[in-house]
Amino acid sequence: MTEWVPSRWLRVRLWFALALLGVGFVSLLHRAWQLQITDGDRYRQLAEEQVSQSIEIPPRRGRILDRAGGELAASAELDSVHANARQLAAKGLIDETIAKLAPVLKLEKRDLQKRLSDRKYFVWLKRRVSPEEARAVRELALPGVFVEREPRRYYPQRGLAGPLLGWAGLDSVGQEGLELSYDSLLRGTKAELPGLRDALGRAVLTDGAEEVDNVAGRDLVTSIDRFIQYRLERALEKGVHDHHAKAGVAVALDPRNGEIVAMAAVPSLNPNDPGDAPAKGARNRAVTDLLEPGSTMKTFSIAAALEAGIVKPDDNWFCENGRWPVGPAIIHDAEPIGAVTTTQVLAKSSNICTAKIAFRSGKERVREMLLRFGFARRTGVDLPGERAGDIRALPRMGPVDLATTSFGQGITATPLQIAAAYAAVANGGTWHKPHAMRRVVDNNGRTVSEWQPESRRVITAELAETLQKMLFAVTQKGGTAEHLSLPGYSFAGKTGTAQKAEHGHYSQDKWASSFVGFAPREDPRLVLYVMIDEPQGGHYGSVIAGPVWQETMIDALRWLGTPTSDVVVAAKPATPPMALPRDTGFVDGEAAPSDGEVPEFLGLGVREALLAARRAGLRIEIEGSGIAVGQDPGPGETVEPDGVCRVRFAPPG
Amino acid sequence: VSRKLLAVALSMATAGALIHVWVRLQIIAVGYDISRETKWRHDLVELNQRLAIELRARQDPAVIERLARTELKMVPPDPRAIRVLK
Repeated sequence: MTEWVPSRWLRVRLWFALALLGVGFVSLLHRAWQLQITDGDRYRQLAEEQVSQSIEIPPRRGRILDRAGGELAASAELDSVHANARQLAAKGLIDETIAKLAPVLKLEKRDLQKRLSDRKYFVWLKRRVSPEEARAVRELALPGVFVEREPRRYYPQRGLAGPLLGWAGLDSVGQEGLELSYDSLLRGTKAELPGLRDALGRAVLTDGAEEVDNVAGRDLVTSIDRFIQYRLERALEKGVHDHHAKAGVAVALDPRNGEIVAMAAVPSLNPNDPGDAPAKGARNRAVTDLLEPGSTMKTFSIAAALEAGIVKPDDNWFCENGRWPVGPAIIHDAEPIGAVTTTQVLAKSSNICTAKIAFRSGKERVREMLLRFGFARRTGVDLPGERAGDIRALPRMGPVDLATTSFGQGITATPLQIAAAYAAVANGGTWHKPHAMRRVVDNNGRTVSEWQPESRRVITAELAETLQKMLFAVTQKGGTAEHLSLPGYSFAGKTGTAQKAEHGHYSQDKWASSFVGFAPREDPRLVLYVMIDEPQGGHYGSVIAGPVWQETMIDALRWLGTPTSDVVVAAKPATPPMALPRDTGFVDGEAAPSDGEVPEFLGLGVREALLAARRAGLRIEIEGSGIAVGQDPGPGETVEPDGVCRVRFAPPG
Repeated sequence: VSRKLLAVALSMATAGALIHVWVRLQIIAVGYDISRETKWRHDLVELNQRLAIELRARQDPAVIERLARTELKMVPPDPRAIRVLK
């Protein structure tokens, strides 16, 4: 067999082909080198500019929380359906799309036709659809029809604290109340993350997504107590309704630090759907409305004289039996009053004697005391729309003006100013700047900022105590608020009954009836101001506003766990807990010190278990009702001092 | 020898190119995963938020009071019947 030898011509052709391939390969290699290495950066940049895109992360608006951490306002996303009408028209899909979408979105076909008739690139078909509707639209997979998510603000407590919270609009921008005050913190920032979009428009986050958490708005933790807010709103609504009044306003402050515990106004609004409520008078009246405070101002007029040492609480005054001319004017009392002490002047709310006391003090002292308590200037509360009020300037304050100013007419103040001033009396003489914000936290619960308290001493502790005693007399026999009562608690306060100014004169039938007070008198936990505007069929503050105050305050004190002055303390055990009779009551006595040993609760009723826990120096968590059927830790085990034992109760049998 | 070297060099260049492409594809795939997981996480946070709102709405004091009064026939206790333990 002879070896095959390629012909010369064939070898030339083979070498030629090899050379061609070699040149081609080298050319390709060169080009690849050029594309990837030499000009790689430039082409990579060009490519990224074409396909890369910042992936926009819309911010989640922060929540507004009550003092216990419950949501008063929160945001969640809802689906909305939109379409590219131009694309649908170009493909001749308008009619088919309408026929399929109308039943799914529960819309009239002509409505959809109208929306799509403009042939725009972007047309909302239906916003904020239900999850079922969104799912159905997605399943239809119609070209040119898209489902997009939009954030929506919810106020899960409905109208609770509506005027105080305000609301955020469709674009998640705060419009009123706390939503407006803290808008920049709540809103968050729109984040743009580097990423790619593929041919289908899907996001490809090639650089990770760790920044996403940082774009959410901050949460605002307020001092609002949900329960007290609710009770206050219900009582105020009832008060306004019962007296066919025009409006009402109420503020509850913690006198120890100026925190706004509750703030209510009637008419109110539901921030989920504010609609035209603001046009109908729904606003945060506690800060936006100026009123003539009436007799609630007497406390401060008398304080000026007491501080100067020119008047004593037991000084005697003659109140002219209800009628006293001052210059061209005649001052009246609601009822004729004769000789009374300074304390009784306040208790009986005599305009005439308060004016006499103010004359003895002089207008400088009276005005200076009112200014010191924060009147005629904004408190600086963290709520929008606050007004300052007005006190007549000294050069323009004649004798009649001084007299009327002393009993709260001819000056203006906001309900919040009055409440803050009384809080200063209640806490021993320190004025605290009122505020609703406690702290701001990020979405990991870390505190970002806290309220920076602002306080100033306005009167001495001794003078504050004297005023507290005088205000207590208002609620006692002979005082204007004698018929108000808080079972188990002593309290102090002042009635206010102001005629409203109308067309330059005081109206004879339009009044603002108010009551402001604090409780318990010995250690005030709450200052509450209530005003009913233009009540019908009566106008005395104690009768109109008093019941609202009383109803709210008693509920609030119980809710806060404030012990009554006739507090009942469980006794030392005379017998082991198990031997206690079923109907054992609470009797006076001292609790035994705890040795940390858990008693046996099994078989006891709730009350007996509470009693046994108290004797053992334990706190118990009660679950269910009836007879104790389980406990953790078990009997005989030990717990830390002040430890908690969980006890489960079930109905007998 | 030179042919062998050329073949090895070409093989290595080809393998390097393939590895480069594979890495790029992996980056894209992981990018999709991150994107999907991010969306999933976002959806879960949204769901959590909606449930929290729903829960809070059901804890509305007005709703609870209405249920207590109408369905459970409860009434507020007499103020004198309440004692706060110190």
